[in-house]
Amino acid sequence: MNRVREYRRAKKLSQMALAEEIGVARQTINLIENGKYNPSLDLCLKLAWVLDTDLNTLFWRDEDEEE
Amino acid sequence: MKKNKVLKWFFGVQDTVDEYVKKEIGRISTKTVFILFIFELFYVGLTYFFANSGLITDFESYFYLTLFIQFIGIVVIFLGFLMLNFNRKNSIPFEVTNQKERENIISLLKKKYVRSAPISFLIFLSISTVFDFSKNNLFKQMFTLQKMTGAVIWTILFSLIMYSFEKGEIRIAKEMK
Repeated sequence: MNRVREYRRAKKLSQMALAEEIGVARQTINLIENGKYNPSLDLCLKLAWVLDTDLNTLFWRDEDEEE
Repeated sequence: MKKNKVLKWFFGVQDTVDEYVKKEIGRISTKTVFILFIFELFYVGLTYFFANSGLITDFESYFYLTLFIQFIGIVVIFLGFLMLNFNRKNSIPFEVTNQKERENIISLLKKKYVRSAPISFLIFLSISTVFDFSKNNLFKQMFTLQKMTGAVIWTILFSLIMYSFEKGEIRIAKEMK
């Protein structure tokens, strides 16, 4: 689970602009926002840095997912 | 990076080769290699079996035929399995994120088949010669004026048709908010 979409909208960035900022494809941002792709730690850190937040706020693990 | 350029060229990726694209390429390529291995295993087995069965008398034609079928088989497995998998699952982004690169990539996409015309020419020339069963030397026959003119005409027609097709396939999407 993540709050990438929420923070991206708060920063008034489009998926395209965010993708360009961190050097990935727009499709990857879309997949991350929809929870269909788990990004690497490096990418998570880049996202957190661009969106002016920290990893714990941006990403968390649901207890349901662990089962 | 050179490695990314090779991946872009080989898999037709227009956008950034990021970690997701690399992961997908790795996953689907592994499956494709496994299927190619199974195909080769059975194909070589069958070729060996028929060669020793006493049914084959003309071994030269048998050699060319098996090579040709093997080539077609590999191409069909590669294109059919790898590319269809990429397209079906939308694994590879066929869109361009970087605004500056757009114009350049649109031009490259349009001329994709025109740039690969020498390869098309060689493919047409080889296929038309392989299917000519006039028992002459393969390479002597391949470089005759008739075969080469035919291949040039086919290449020009193919490149023109594919140029028009690719031109119509390019879509300029509006940015999603």
